[in-house]
Amino acid sequence: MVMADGQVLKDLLLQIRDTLIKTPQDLEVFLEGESIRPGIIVLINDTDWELEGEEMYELQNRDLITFTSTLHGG
Amino acid sequence: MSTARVPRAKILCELCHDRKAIMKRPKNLQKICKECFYHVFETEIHNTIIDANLFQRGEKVAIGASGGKDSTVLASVLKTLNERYDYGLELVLLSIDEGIVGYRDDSLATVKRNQKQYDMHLEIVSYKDLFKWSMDEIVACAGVRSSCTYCGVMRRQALDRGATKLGISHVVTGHNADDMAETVLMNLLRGDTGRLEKSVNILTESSGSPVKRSKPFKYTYQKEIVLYAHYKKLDYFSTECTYAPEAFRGTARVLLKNLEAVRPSCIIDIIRSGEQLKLRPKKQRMRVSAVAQEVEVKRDGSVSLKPESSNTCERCGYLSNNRICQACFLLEGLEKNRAKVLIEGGNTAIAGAAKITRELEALSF
Repeated sequence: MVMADGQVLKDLLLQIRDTLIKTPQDLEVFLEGESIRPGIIVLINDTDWELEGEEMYELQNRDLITFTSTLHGG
Repeated sequence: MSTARVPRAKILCELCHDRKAIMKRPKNLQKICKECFYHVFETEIHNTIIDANLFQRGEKVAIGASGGKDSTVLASVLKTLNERYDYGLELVLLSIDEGIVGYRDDSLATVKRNQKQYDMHLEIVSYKDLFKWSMDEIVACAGVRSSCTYCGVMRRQALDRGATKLGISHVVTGHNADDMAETVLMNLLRGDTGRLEKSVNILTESSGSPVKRSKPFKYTYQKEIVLYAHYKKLDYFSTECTYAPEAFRGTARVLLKNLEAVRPSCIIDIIRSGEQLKLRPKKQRMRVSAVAQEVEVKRDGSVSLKPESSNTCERCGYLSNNRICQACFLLEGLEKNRAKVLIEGGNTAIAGAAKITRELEALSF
């Protein structure tokens, strides 16, 4: 995904919402309001986003952001 | 938007104080590195197993394997611990084929790869073989709403029968702390006190089953299982069952996840609370046992020593506390419907028919 300079993870979430997600049903399993839905694990370059400042993490070139839902069954 | 920027800082592991921390444990908010994570994750499960005295040396244990992340991590960790601590267990993978096209066939392919990766015997038992019904057929006949009821009853018996066939009397499942807290919440919200007390047991044995069940992941967080599978690059299958998920469980899960976001330790706290609940025994039980002691006096004056009903199902011969086991009872109702559907439509007994039905149900006019 192409992002402008100096943007944070929150901007990425909103950009995903605006450009990638097409139906309201898909949106509600990803976001709650403007934040990530509880139960989704976010990794920034394989590190728990809770250690990286969460939504305020400043995106770097070639960062790999992973979203894994734990909401469905095992 | 980007006013308060957080600079990149390397956080050191709070356990080894050497490597970079890669995760925050939900249980205690500790920031730890990958190597320390593997170590605490595996060791805590080992401690749970030892504290509960879960296994006996030489025991043959079947791992209920769905191909999903929980059971895949369970197979991997049990193999590791069995070798590391020399439990002396023989581990076998036991899978259920519910007959759900586009879901179970894909996940079974994962289990077949796991069989090779972990070098374990794999046994697959199918609903179709055991009950003459696949889940696709059941849903086509009974609709999607009650699918979890049928599937749950049948899975319980299928696991028992699969294990018995292998001469195994212990099945371990990948139920984790999140699942357990969810079940406690559900039983609490429904006022199901009978289940509430039992739902936190790590080991369950019932008179109606020759097979005991246990949950080595009872205290293991979902988040850590997912991360373990991710970092270890385990081969697992991740898709929701194509049929309706249990609606009420879904509600409890969302509630739990919202609570966890505020207070991550709440999952363990709910389990601990559940463990402390000891309910007053019901008075009715006295009456039940009095009835059970009644003896039947036959016409010729002889007395039968055992009540007329034995502890096997009249239809399938499987263990049951009632005259007809729950699976046969449910399927009996379906058989009547199948005949009707066959006359009216005739398109039920084909694979994937349920999918069509589901799509039709979703349409609105």
